[in-house]
Amino acid sequence: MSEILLSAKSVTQRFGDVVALENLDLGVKREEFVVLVGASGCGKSTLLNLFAGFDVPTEGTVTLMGESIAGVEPRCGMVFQNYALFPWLSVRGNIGFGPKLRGEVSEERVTELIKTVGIEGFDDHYPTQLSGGMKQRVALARTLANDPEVLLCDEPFAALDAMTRQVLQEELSRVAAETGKTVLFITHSIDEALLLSDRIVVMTARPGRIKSSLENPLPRPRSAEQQLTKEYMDLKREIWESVQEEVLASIATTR
Amino acid sequence: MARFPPTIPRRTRIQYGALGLLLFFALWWFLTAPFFTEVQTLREAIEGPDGEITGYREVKREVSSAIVNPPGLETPWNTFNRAFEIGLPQHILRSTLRILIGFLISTLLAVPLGIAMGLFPRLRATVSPIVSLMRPLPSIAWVPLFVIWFGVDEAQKLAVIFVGSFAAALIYTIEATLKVEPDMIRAATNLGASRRQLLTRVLLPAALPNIISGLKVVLAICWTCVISAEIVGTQLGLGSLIWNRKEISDTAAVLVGMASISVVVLLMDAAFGWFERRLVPWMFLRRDAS
Repeated sequence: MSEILLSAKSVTQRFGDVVALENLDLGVKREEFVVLVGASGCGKSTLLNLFAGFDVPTEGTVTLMGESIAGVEPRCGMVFQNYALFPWLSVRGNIGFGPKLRGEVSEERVTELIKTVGIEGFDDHYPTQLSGGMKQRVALARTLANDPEVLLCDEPFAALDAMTRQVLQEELSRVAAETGKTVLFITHSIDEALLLSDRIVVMTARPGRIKSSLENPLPRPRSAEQQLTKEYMDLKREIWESVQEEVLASIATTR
Repeated sequence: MARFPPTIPRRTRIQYGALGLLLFFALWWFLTAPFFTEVQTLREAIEGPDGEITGYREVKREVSSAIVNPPGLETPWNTFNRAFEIGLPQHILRSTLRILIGFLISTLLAVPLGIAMGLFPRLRATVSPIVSLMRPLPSIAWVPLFVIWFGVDEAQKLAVIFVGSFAAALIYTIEATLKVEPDMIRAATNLGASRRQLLTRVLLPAALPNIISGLKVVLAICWTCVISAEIVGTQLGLGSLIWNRKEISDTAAVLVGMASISVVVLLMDAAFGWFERRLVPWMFLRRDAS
């Protein structure tokens, strides 16, 4: 549990004149569930893109299991906010997409994943026939099919309604625990962060750096009822105050 | 207004549609039906026993007449019957063949080039100005040049269809390629797709629906091209039919030719829709689960 699986060391990322990330350090331990929160535009997605290998940092290094990430890194599986499913493939086709690229076709594995994310009976449906919540379940299964070391989640539940979101948050917690996946999760929602995380990392306004890191002491399994406890309220206030400063700073700079 | 935009049931829509057509033909009939009689005074020759003209006499004769008389317009029925006297099937066949061949040449060249232009911005930047210059030209503007270059045979017809449709097909394909959702490409890359797999397994199926709906428009453009192209040097084809019949004021044949163009375009569109539903079936699914 203590091995650092994913890390960013002194990472700076510039896009032209814009400094998105500056001298950022972050380490994620094996099987840890880390949630990144921060004002919009603080570079959370930029950081995720570096770990996925979609971009190369201007300065510094990003590593997976001690190896520098150079080029797209399939061991860091990404889950997108807008699902990014392939509409011409059925649920089964979408989930089996990764294995099929390598010539490994395992229908049993697909069936197992369908069970894992709770979409039994929708095997032959197409994405356009599914609700947002169902689509995100398929997307999660598709990413899991490649058996990645890390799940990178870019606000995956932001487009869902509140009730579906809560169900999926609980499902993701369960799936992450069952599969023992390391997760780096981005969100705007402090409630979401408190419900999911082992550790919450607050980023500063642009240029993005790590502002604070906080172990989440709430006992698992977590549920909506916990949100009414004093412990929860205090934690939420603490994080909100930290985030709020950055939101105000961000508003001040963009005005 | 409780519901906006206001709608009516399908059945009612069809009934009103039929009413509209009925009114149209009723008006046409009203304008061309022989309601009136006119007394015409004609000079008739008086023939002798050996057929020689010996003199003239005036004859009054009643002639039926309408508000609009031939050759301006004939009755709907007479116009319809003209369709069986002018070898319509051959004309339809010839124009359709020209279009299909021209469309095929256009598509086979424009789609691969369009995808490449979507993927390579430098290629796009190089070719775009040429396309922008070609696109505003109406197909008929190419006819004189191609008559000089290719004469008045099939080559000239296909050339007009090709230049009239190529730019549009190219632009639709480029747009379809650029419209592919970036996250879909990123997701596939993240799942381990090679560049080749990205092209064949993601980009092509992702761009296909928009390419096809673009080509549907291009097919209709091909019809305007063939009618321009058939202005010269041919006896066969729906365009030729209407241009040639105009010379002898055969209004009925001209109208039959025009109606045939309409009907054939509609039929081709329906056929294309049939192919579309088979090529990109996932675009026609309805959400049925939640």
